[in-house]
Amino acid sequence: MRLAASVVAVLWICLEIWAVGPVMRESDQASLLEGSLQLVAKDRAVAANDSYNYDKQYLSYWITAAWLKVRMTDDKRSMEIAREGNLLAITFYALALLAAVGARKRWSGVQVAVLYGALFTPVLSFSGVFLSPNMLSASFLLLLAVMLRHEHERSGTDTPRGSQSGIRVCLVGVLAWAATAARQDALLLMPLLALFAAQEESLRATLRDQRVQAMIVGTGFAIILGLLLSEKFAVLPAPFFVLPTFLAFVGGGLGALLLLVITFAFGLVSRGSLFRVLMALSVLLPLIFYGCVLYTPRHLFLPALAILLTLFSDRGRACWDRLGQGRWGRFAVIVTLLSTALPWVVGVRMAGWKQASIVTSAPTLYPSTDGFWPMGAYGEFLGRLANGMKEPVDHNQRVWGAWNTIVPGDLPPGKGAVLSSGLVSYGAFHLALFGREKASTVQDADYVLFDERTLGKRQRGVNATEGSNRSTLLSLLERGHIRPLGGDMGERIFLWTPGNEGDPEQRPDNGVSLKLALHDYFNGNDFTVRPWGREQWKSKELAGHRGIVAGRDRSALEAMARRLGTPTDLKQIGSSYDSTTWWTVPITAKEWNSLAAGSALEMQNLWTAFGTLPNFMDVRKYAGAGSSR
Amino acid sequence: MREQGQVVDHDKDGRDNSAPSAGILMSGTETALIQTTICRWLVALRVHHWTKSGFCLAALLFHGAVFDGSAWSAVLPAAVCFCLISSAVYLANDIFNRKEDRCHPNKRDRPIAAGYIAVRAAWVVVTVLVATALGLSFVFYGLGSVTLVLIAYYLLSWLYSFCLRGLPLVDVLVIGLGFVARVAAGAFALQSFDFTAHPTGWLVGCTYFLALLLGFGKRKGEWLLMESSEMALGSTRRALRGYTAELLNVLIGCSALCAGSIYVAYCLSRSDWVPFVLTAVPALLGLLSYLKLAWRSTSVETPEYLLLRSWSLLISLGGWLVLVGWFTAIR
Repeated sequence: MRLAASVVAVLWICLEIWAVGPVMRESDQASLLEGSLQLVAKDRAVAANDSYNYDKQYLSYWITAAWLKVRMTDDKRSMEIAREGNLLAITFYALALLAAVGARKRWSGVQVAVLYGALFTPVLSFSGVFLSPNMLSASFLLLLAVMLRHEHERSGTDTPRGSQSGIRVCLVGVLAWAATAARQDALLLMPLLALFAAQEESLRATLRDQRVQAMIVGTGFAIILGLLLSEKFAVLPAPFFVLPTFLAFVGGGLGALLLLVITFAFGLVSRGSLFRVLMALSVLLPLIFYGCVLYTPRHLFLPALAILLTLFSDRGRACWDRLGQGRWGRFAVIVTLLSTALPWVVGVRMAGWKQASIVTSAPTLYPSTDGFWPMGAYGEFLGRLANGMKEPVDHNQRVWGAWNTIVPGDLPPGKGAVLSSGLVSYGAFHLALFGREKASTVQDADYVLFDERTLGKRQRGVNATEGSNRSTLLSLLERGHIRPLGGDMGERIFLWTPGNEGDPEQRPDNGVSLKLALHDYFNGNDFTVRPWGREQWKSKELAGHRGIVAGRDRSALEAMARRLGTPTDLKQIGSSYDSTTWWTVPITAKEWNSLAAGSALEMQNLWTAFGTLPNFMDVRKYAGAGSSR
Repeated sequence: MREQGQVVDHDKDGRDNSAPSAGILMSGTETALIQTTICRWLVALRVHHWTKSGFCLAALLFHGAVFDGSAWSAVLPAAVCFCLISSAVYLANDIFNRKEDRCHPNKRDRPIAAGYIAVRAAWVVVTVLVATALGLSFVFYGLGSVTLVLIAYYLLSWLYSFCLRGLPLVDVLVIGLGFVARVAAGAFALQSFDFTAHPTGWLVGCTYFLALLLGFGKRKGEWLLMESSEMALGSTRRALRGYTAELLNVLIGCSALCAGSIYVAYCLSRSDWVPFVLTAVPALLGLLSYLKLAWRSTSVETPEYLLLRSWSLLISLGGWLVLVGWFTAIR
């Protein structure tokens, strides 16, 4: 069975390495790269550093900086740096996983099944291909779990209980420090590691164990050092709990592994021992903690990792074996096996709450604060992520791709500020890469850079169609002029400079005007605007998405409506950008495709916009909508 | 004193013919008779179970209105209503179960089973109690949520007595709903007096699993008692036939885990979670103390007396109340 476990681990690693690309998935990823770049360039010091969450993940910054220092050449562009970061994460994690799997000589069928269920759970699989402090911290946690195993299994001889070699105790302390310093919420898994590593089922004996003491010291030192090194302290996001979001994220993030988590925890408490109740609580602790700050399924990384870690402790392995001998335990394992495999192949496409179909590709995506997550068909989605810089999955790749087209020479001198709805770090990273100084506020800036998406998108975490960044941006548009610096895949990056003495020849930007005009139509939700014929909208994927065709020329729209055979009920909307108005007609992707086939010349001046999510998904109803994050 | 296991002779109304006649006692000490009668009625009405109505006050605690007199005056009538209606339910239950109770080593001394209280008189009291409870609720809260919850609780109790009490698992699941009804009524009572309280999912979930924990603990106690007294399982409670000690241990452990997890999650979900999460410490210690008792002794058979028997439980509960009261008061 050891071979089977190795095969599962190697298969997973191969899959992840295949999917690694120069893709950006979330803003924290760019923050980590930005801070690391500045460490390499010595723009920021190791101490008194004010990088994002530096107090909670300073070791991740150091490791990434060291990796970039070794791997980066002077002419590397942002795409290549993103790929290097992603490679770093999977390399670290893969090595630790192989070490952990290889360190165990005996594997039972149940243990292999659990290993498969844990590794192929969506949250671990989709996190594996991106740089994140989670992945680096998890690598140390896996090694820590290996170091915590009992001495007699490692040496194959009987050694007296409680006797630990000094080196091993020191290594445990160092690994506990590294895991916590790489990402502080590793703290949530320390009770699990301690309780599952205990040689006796007694809390007192556990606390007397030198390895556990070393873990406590290492973890405490990591936290204190973080406080000392950081210039500012990140506060935890405001807690919230919305049951439908919780269920959707837990179902989509953990998937079938949730069944194993619950079965394992309940299996522990049924033994009638208080120590086992504590063990069960330690397994559930990350889920309980993140249940209240579940902004994205990615936050379920630790609950999934908790199950993986139990596989590398003696007590955990014994519990799994015992569970596998029981009827209910076997049932849970089999159901998990099947339910883990199935969503990798099939998914659900939903045009509305009551319009769902089973598909094997292009499942409906649902929003989170990071990016979109799929409703099944994970294999195909992983492939899409791998190819994300050519065919973007969500706004993260589009905006990142647009930033990647910026040429440093196009930026004016002085300090720059970045405005974005949730993706400020993408711009900040590029400023750091170009060696440009970043202004702390818009007022201090000589110029402002912003992505086009922010014009039509509310800021996350605000229960309104309007966000503070967008409001600031609108006020800037009134007292300055803008010009596009670059763009890709339907997103553009604009440069704003103050004053009204812009180029008199410059005409108002139709894209900006329409983006602002359609903001209310899409209710603050994300949408894409493209000139007619520039994008082949995929009618199957866009079923149930809100769409609209807009143009300055009323007659072109009337002609289009006649061709569609719909009443020519045009609606006029205004834009806060310029004084001219737009005429609009709602449209479906299917209708658009039928029109595009025989596109008339007058339609070339029209624009099309589609919501990036189905109409029934209003992000204001989702995670953290009412919170003050 | 009646000897253990002695079968009592009852007439068709359930009156105990073997009991000393009232006339003889009255001629002796009239006061003693009155005292005895009152005591028997208090026992029959299960006054000590009125502590369960304390769950009505949970909303008061979590709404941060412990030191608000108007909040107390809003919730107390609801608690009183539940005291009255639960007494009516117990009394009616005792009337229906009097034959089964006579076989139970402890329950055979209940006033109705032992024949100290006439069945007809018990029915009259049941009617008065129900009418008073509903009347009181209507006067204070109108035909609103509190009265509806009270009626639902009463109907559920009848359903339990007639149909569901013999079904293993279902019996405890239904009892748990009774506790949820108390908590919900407390929150609705506050709401009807212009407070913004409402029964949140946390409150309902935590209460339900706590009630299940107490319910399954009670079954475990009964199960062990039956085993130790070498009586046939189900002779006193039919549902016991469907339980085993192992199953009850699993159910107790899982209920405790769910209650503890939901409470910790609730603490973390509050905006003032940094101090409030400290209340999870005594709460979890209390749960662990209860688990220790539930897995190892028969004392959990009577949860209403548990606090008097376990110092650790008493201290945990006290500590939890003080901390919750403090944090909600300073909020």
